[in-house]
Amino acid sequence: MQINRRDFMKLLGGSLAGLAVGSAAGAIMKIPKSMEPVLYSGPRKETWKMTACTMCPGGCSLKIRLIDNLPIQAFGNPLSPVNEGGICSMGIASVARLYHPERLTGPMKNINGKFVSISYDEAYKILKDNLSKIINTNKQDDIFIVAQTESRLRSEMFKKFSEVTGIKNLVIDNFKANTSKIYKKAAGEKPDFIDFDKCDYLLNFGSQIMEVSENPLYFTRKIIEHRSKGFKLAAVQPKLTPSISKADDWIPVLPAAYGDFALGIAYVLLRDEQYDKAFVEKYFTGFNDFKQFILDNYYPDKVQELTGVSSDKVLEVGRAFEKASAPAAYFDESLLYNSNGTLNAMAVIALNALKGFQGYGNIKENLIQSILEKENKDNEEISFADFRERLAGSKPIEALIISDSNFVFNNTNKEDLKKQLSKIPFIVSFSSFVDETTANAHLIIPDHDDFEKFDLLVDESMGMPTATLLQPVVDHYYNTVDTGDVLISLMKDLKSSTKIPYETYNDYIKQIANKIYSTHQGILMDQNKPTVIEKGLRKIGWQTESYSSFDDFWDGIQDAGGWWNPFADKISYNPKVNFDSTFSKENLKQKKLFASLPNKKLRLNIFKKNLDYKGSMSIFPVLVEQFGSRWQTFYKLWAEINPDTAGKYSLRERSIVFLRTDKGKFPVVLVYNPSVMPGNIDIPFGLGHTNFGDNCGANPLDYSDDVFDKASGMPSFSETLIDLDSASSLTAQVMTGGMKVTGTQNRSIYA
Amino acid sequence: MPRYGMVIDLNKCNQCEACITACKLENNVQIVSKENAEMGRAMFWMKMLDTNYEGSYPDVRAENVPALCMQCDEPSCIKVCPVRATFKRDDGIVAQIYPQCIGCRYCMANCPYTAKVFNWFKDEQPVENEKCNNIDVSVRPKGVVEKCTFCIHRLQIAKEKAKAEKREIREEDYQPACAEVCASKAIYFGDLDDPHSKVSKAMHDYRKFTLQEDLGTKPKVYYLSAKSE
Amino acid sequence: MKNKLFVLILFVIGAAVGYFIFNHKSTSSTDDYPVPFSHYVHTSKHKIKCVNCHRGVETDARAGIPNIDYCSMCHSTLINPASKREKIIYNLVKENKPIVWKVHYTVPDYVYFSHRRHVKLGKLDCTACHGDMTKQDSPDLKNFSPIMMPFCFNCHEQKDITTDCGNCHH
Repeated sequence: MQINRRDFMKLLGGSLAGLAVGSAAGAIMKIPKSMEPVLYSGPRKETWKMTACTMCPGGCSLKIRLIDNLPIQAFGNPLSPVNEGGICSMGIASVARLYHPERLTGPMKNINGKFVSISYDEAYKILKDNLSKIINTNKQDDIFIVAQTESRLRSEMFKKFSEVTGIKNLVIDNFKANTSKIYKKAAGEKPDFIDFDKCDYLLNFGSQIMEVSENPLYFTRKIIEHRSKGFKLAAVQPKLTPSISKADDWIPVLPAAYGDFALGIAYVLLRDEQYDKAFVEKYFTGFNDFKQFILDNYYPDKVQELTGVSSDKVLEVGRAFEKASAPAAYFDESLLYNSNGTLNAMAVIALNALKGFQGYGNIKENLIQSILEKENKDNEEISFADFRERLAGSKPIEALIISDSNFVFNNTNKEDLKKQLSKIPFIVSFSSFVDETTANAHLIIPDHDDFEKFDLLVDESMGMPTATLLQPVVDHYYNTVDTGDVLISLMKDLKSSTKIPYETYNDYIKQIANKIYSTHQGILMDQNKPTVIEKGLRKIGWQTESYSSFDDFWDGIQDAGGWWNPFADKISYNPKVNFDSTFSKENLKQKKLFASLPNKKLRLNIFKKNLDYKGSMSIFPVLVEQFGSRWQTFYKLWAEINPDTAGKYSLRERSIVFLRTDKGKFPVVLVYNPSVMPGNIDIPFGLGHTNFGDNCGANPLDYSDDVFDKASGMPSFSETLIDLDSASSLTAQVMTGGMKVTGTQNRSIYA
Repeated sequence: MPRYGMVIDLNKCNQCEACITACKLENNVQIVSKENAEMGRAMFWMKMLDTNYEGSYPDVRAENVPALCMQCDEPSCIKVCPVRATFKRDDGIVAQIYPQCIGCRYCMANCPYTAKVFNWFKDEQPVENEKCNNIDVSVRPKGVVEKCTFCIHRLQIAKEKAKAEKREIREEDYQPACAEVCASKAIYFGDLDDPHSKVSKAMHDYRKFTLQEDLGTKPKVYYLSAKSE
Repeated sequence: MKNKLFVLILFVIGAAVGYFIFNHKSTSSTDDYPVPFSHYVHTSKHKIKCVNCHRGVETDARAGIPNIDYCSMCHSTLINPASKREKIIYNLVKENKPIVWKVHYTVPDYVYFSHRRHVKLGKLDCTACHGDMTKQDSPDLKNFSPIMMPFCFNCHEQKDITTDCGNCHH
C-alpha cells in the first residue's frame, strides 16, 4: 500500500509538526494541515506568485512573497495596469487572513446555539435536502440569497444559480453593481469608464475617490497624473477626506444634500443655455418638463438654503462645469448612504445628461460584456431594500443563503435584523468567519480564503477590458470548499434536467479565459505597454501575442497576473435618459431636508476610512491598530468635531464624551478637526464588532436611526441627531476606569 | 559610495497610509497590547504627523506628512549612544544594531523627529501576524530601541545579488517597502549623489524642504510641497 | 560561623561545576541522531561534492540540508546490502518519513549570513568554517569553529573585509 505524503501527515498530525518546527528538516516536509511555520528552519527558498485582491472593487493584482511555499508578504504586482506596483493597506495586510485563528476549519452545524463541526458531505446533504424540500413544493419565492462579492464572475455564478433553480430573490451587494441599478432605471447601461484622456473637469459627488471607490488606485494615479495637464477635480462632500485634499476645489455640502447641489448646477447650465442641446434633443426624454422644474425650483438662493453652499459658490462651480469641454459628474455607492440616495444619484445622472456624458466613455465591442451576456440571460436581481421589506413583513422566508455578506454589521437595524433572522427556519452561510451575520446561521460551509481559490476579476473602468487572475497561492489548508463548487453541485442536484457546461468553478474560470483567448485580442500583463506604432500595426492585423495556444495563454496569465486589452476602441457614451416623474414636486416632497439643525443637537456623520471596506477590517490586527493612529486613539472610537462647535458646547479636546442618540449612548474620544462641518460630528465606520476579529470600539451604525434609501436599501450614514451628554463628559473618565488618552507626541514637528 | 536618501512628494501623496502598513509588516514591528497603545507605546517606524490645518471652515487646507527616520547627515542620536548601537554608515544610512543596544533611550530623547520607538514589553503578537513575519528582519527583544533603517536588509540582499550577477547595484534593486507599495508614486528613493537617479532629479525642485531645517541635522528625507495650491 | 559560610559557598560552587560538567547538554553521543550519516562515505568514497547535497551553497543564503525526498534519489534501493547504516536510511525512504536533522551551525535571527556571499563571491573554502568533513565518518558532533562574532571578525579583519555592523546585522 502506498501512503502518500499527505496521508502520512494526517496520521501523524500535530505531534510531529511540533517536533518539526524546531528542526531544520521542518520546511522540507510539507505540512498543509497544521500550517506550522517552518520559516525559521527551512531552506528559505523565496518564490513569488501573482494573484489578486478582492478586498475592494478595484481588483488590484498582488505579488505574494512565499518562503518555503508559505505566503508571508503581499506587494503590488508591477506588471498590472490597474495598480502598477502600488497597493493599499488592505492588500498588504491580506496575507494574515489566511492564518487567522478564527477562520473556520470546516463545515459547521448549529446545534442549540453552538456550532459543531461536521463533514462536508453531511453539510451538503443538509443544504440540499432543505433547499429541495422548498423547491419541490414550488416555493422558490420563499428562498433568498444575499451575496456580497466584488468579483463579477462570482456574481454571474450566483445569477446562474438563481436562474437554474428558479430562486428569483437574489441580492448581490457589489460596489459597482449597486450604482448600475440606478443607471439602469434612468439611462440604461452604466458608462464603462471615465475618459481621463478627454475629461477636464471631474465633479465628484460624495465619493472618496482615492480611498473607497470603484478603482481607487487607478483613480489616484490618473488624477495625480492629469492634474499637471489642466485636469481639475472638484469634490462635493461635507468632510475633508484625504481624497479631497488632492482636489482643486472643495464644495462642503450638507450631508445627503448632494442631489440638490447637482440640480443647482443644472440650473446654472440651463439658465446660461450652455447644455448640450444636440444630445438633449436626441436622447433626453421629458427634457422640457425637467428644465421648467429646475428653473422654477433650483435657483442659487434656494440651493444655498438646501445645501448650505453659498449661492456664489454654486454659480462658480456651475460656470466651471459648463465651461469645461468634457466634464463628468461622478458618484458611486457612497452617495447612496442616505435616505435620499437614489434621488441624489438620479440628479447627478441628470447633470451629466445635460452635458451629454462628455466625460464618460464606452468600449466599442466590449469583449467581456459580450462573453458574460452570452453566459447569462439578463436576470434582474433585487435590491437589499426588497429583502429588508420582506424580512420585516409578515410573509415568512423559508430559507436564506448568505455569502460573505455581513449585513447585520453594515446596517442600522442590527437588533431588528437579528430578531427577524431568528424566525427563518434555515440559514446557510458560506462565510469563512463567524461574523455577526453568520452567527445566526444554522449551517456554515466555509469558502476558501482568497489565496486558495481561482477567480477572474474582469473590469473595464480603465477604458480597456482587464482580467486580473486570482489564483491559489497555497493548497487550501482547511476543510473548506469553494462556494462556486457548492453552487454548481447544487444546481446539478436540484435541477438535474439542466445541463451545466462546467464541473467546478475553476472550469468555469478556465472557460471564460478560453473565450478571452480565442478572440485573440489584447495582451498579457507581462508585455510592455504598447507603443503607438504597435497599436497601429495591431489595427491592420498584426499579432503581438506572446502565446501560441490556450495552455500557453493560461500559463502566461498565471505568471503575469492577468490579461488586458489596451487596443480596445473607445466610443462615446450616449444613453437614452428618462427620469419619468423623479423630478417633480410630488416626488420631492418626500425628500428629507437637512438644512436646519435643532438647538443643542449635533448631526452624526459616519465616514469610511480606506483601511476598512464593508466592515472587514477587524480581522487584521495591523489595520485595527493603524485605524486611529493618526489621532492617537488606539482601539477606541473617536469623533472629529469642529473646534468652533466644540467651543460652543465647551467640549475639551481628547476628552471622552458620551454621545446620546435615540438608541443609546456610546463613548468616543473627541478630537478637533477644523475641516469638519460645524454642527457635525464625524465618526469612522469599522470598529465595534461583536464576534468578528477585534471587538474594540463601537459601531456608530448601531446607534443610528433606522433610515435607509428606499430604492437601494443602503443604510443612512448621516441622518441621526445627537444629544450631547455634556454633563456626563466629566464623569466619563471615572467610568472608564481612569483610562488615559495620551496627548499627541508628534505635535508641531511640521515646520 | 552612494548616499541613500528619500524624497516624498506631498502634492502626490494621497494619505492612503499604505506605506505605514507596509513598513510595519516588512520590519516585523511589534503590535503592542491595547493597554500599552493607550499609554502611547504603540510602535510605528513610519507614521503620519499631526495634520496641519490652515484656515477655517470651509476654506480649510490640510497638509499631512508621512514621517520616518530622517536618516540625518548630522544625526543627533548617534552622538549620545554610549555603546555605538546606532551609527551612520558610509552610504549615509543611520543604522541601528539591536544586539548592541542597551536600552538607555538617550537617542530617543535626542531625536528631534521622534522617529525612534522603544520595546517596552514583549507583548504577545497576534498569531496570524507572527506567521507572516518577514524572515529577513530579526524580531527585536524587549528593552531595545528601534527605528527605520531604510530597509537595510533589502540592501544587504540586493548588494549580494548584484555582485553575484557581476554588475553594479541598480536603483530598482533596492527600494524600501514604503516606496515599493506607494500607489501614487509619491516616494522616490535612491542615491542622492547620482545625478541620473530619480530621487536626485526629484530633489532638485523649488518645492523642496526638510523638517526642522534650523536644527542643522541635515535630514536625507526631503519633502516636496507647493503650499500655494 | 565563617567556616560554615565558606563551606556553603564551596558547596554551591561545587554544585555549579558539577552541574555544568555532568548535566550540561552533552553532544558526545550519536544515539539521539536520526540517521548516522557519514560524510566520509558520501564525499571520499563516492566522490559526491558538498554542493551536490547542500544545494544552496552557491545560490542562497542557506546551504540547506537535504531531506528524505532528496535522499531517495539514491537510497530507494540498497546499494550496499551489508551496511547496517544504509538500512536505516533505506527504511526511512521506504516509509517516506522525513528526517529531523540536528543543526549545529546556526546564526541568530538578527544576523544576515549568506553562504553565497562567502563561498561563491568570497571564494572561501567550506573547510574554513566547517573543517574537513570528508574524513568525518560519524555524524558531526560539534562545530569545527565557534560560530560567534569574534570568529567572523578574525577573518574579516585579516582579509580587510568590511566590518560595518549594518552589513551583517538587521
